[in-house]
Amino acid sequence: MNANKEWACIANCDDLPLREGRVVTVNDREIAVFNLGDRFLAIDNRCPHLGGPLADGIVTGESVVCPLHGWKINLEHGNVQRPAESLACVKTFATKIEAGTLLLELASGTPNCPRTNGHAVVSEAAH
Amino acid sequence: MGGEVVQKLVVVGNGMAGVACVEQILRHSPKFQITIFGDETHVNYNRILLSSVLAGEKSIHDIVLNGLDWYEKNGIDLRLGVRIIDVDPVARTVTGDDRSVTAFDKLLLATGSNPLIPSIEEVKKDGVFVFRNLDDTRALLDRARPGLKAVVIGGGLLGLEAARGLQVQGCDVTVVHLIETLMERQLDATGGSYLATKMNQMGITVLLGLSTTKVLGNGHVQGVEFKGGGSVPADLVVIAAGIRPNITLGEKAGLEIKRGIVVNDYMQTSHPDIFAVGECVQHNGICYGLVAPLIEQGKVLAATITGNKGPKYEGSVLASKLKIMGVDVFSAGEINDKSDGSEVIRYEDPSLGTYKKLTLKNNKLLGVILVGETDDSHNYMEWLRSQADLSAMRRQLLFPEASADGGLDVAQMSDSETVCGCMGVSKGIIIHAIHEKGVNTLAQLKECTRASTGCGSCTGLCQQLLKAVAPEFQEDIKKTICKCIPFSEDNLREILRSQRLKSVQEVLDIYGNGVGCEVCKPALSYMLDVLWCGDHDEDRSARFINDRVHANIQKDGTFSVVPRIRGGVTSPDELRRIADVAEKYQVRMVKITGSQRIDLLGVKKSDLPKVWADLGMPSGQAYTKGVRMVKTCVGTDFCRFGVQDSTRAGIELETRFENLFTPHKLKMGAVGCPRNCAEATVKDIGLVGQEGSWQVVVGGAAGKKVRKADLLVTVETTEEALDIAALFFQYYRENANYLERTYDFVERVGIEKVRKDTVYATETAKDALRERLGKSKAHSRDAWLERDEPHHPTQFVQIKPFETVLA
Repeated sequence: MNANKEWACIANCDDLPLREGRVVTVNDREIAVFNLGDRFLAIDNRCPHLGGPLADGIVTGESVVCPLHGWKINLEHGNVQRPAESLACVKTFATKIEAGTLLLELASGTPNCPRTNGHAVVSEAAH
Repeated sequence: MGGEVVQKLVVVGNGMAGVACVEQILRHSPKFQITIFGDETHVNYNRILLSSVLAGEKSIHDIVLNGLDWYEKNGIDLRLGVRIIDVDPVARTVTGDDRSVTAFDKLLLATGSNPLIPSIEEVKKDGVFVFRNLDDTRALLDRARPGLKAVVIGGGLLGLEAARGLQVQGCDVTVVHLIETLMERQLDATGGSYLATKMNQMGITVLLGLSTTKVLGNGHVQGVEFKGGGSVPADLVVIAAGIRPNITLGEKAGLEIKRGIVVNDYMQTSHPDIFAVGECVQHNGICYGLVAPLIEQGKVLAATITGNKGPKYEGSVLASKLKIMGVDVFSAGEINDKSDGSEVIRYEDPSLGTYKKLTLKNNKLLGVILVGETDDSHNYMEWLRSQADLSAMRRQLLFPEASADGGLDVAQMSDSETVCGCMGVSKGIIIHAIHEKGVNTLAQLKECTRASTGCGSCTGLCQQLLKAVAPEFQEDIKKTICKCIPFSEDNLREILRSQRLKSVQEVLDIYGNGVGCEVCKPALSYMLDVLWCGDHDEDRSARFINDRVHANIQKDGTFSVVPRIRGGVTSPDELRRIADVAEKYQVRMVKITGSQRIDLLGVKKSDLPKVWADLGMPSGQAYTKGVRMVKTCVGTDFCRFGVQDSTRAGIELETRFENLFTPHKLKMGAVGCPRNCAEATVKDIGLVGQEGSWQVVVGGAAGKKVRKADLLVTVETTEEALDIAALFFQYYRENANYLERTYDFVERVGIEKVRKDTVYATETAKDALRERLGKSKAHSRDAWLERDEPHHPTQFVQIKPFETVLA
């Protein structure tokens, strides 16, 4: 897999405002990217609940709250933090910055579910 | 017993010291017939909280310590507004300025102190105030207003608290202090400079080492001049340069006087039947100006005067705490370095603004200074009082281990340990009150033991004790927004105002967890908008998506668009444009809403700016917690029954309030007759036309809850009706909790209070509401203008990847 590491040049970092999400479509796939100030995180733009656009959610720490029904998704690992009983997860993408440009590793984390990554399934109780 | 002679006890002074002493006397014996003279016209109140009244944190009512019922219940003859001007120690009488002569068997002087006025030229000018009693506070509140330049002379506790209070009232404040160190009686030079930095950060200018020599201005104050020639402009000057014991009556009675009325360890003066307590006395060479000593003196005096002479007053450990939210300062005991074998332990962190200094001798605590972090002050206070040997704790002295268990803190205290330093209440007394007197709430505890009625710094500790011990402890209901920021909305408003915070992230960084969530961020965002009348640093990331793109998100991620159609009155041209837009952007549904408007559903985010441009109509704010619309009937224009022009009134109402935000969505209605065709009586604000008048109704609802609106007032003209609606509108905006609809707000506050604060408010208060509304309105704009000037370049667009490369 490493051999095929494919980085997509996504955007000028300046186009991504602090703590707001933006959508980028790559290969027909909508990805939500977030500027957390100290790093950028990327995740499928689809809430595992009813498909809500995560890019439109309010960021809280390193999570986002879906604007439709308030599911809370961790942006780092993709796991659902609220409701606590949900085992669902969202695919995340590795990011890096090169000369003020944000790059996404599209092939990264294909399974990317915390369950298969060895992370705890539900790493935090719902607040 | 029954034949015991009732003695006449006359108390001169109705302040904290005198009344606290009387409370103690009543505990000992009922054998006195008590008369209390007070030259103020108020019952006994907590003088040290006057700064909280000036800062708007407490009302005058909140700081009353003994209500009239207390005097009545204890058979005390209270003579308010009477100043005692003479004492005859031989005939045993006092004379009032109302010429009344009152006989006494025992006389208690609790005359307190007067503000010290330094010798300043032309100090008697309009606009120069002292800050000592309730009337002074009222006068200051009356005079202070936004934009005024205020100079406070004196950088001690009182001066700084006054400065902060004036700042909260909107003044630009400068503190002028004679010494190079602020609060030099409580702080060393380093502590003083940490405090000065904090005050500067709050926006208060601090000038040190300056002697004020003259008040400038012709009749009214215009500035103050300093020794050496400099000056600063001022519209208002407060002198808080210290206090002087009020000894006039002591002198007239021929008592031994030095700086204060001299008393011995039993609080007796040089006359066997005259006693003195509080700030007017001098004990062992010291005149005290703090609460704790007055209470301790009162206890001893009460024992002496009731014939239970025994306990001695042996002086007090001085402790003081600055009561400015966000500026934590505590000081107790010895503060200056001495070369007498004492050791000093220090810690400071300039970027945190934290300074701690402990002075020890032979492993016992002599003094403590804390700036920036005062959570452990009660530990230090206890070590000072108990003179405990601290050798075993040397490693943790500056950083006592924080316990995760809140109850542990109180569990570790011994029963004799003091909880409330001001009122001298120990843990044991509080536990006794809880068990024996059925105390369950903080209010009951205050009433029963007086704990936490002084400076209030032990409130947290009292709460913890109640929580741990009281079987049915009830926390005072103060709902916080969420866990991110542990304050009630009332508190928060006060914090935001006084600390001049203007952005959500700033508030979260300083008072919250630095992160925030989807609950508190929009709430804080709203509070800042209202507080600063729209002139704040808006952070779109703190707002719901609807407020980032000015449209209502739908279940499929598309948006709905509702243009403003004021009063529901449109035109063929507008309708044609709406129809064209609907076709051009393949809008999935065109819907007439229940609010006399047209909803275009299923618009893509990226099309929003184009849709708005093609519509050429302003935003109808159908997506936000803000002014929605005014539903109207056709009023007098066409209707046979209409008696008021409701259409015009409705359009005017909508025009005046549109583009403003409210705690929750706000819907209005205007009807031309009581038939109420546009259902104004189930709207947040409704105008109901009558023959020759309008009824203004508020708090109606026909949503999740159905509620008939309350009548606020009936007025004659349309302009009056619009004005009343504006007063209520702004009052709701400023006082409701976020997400509280008018129907909940009106029920919670009560329509009488709403009326009192709007319709029947003073003209000044009304003008203030109007002015703030006007300011907000001036800052507001049609959100859809962002079609031409987006808030952010990628606000509405999807980002196009540049290219795909292989790593």
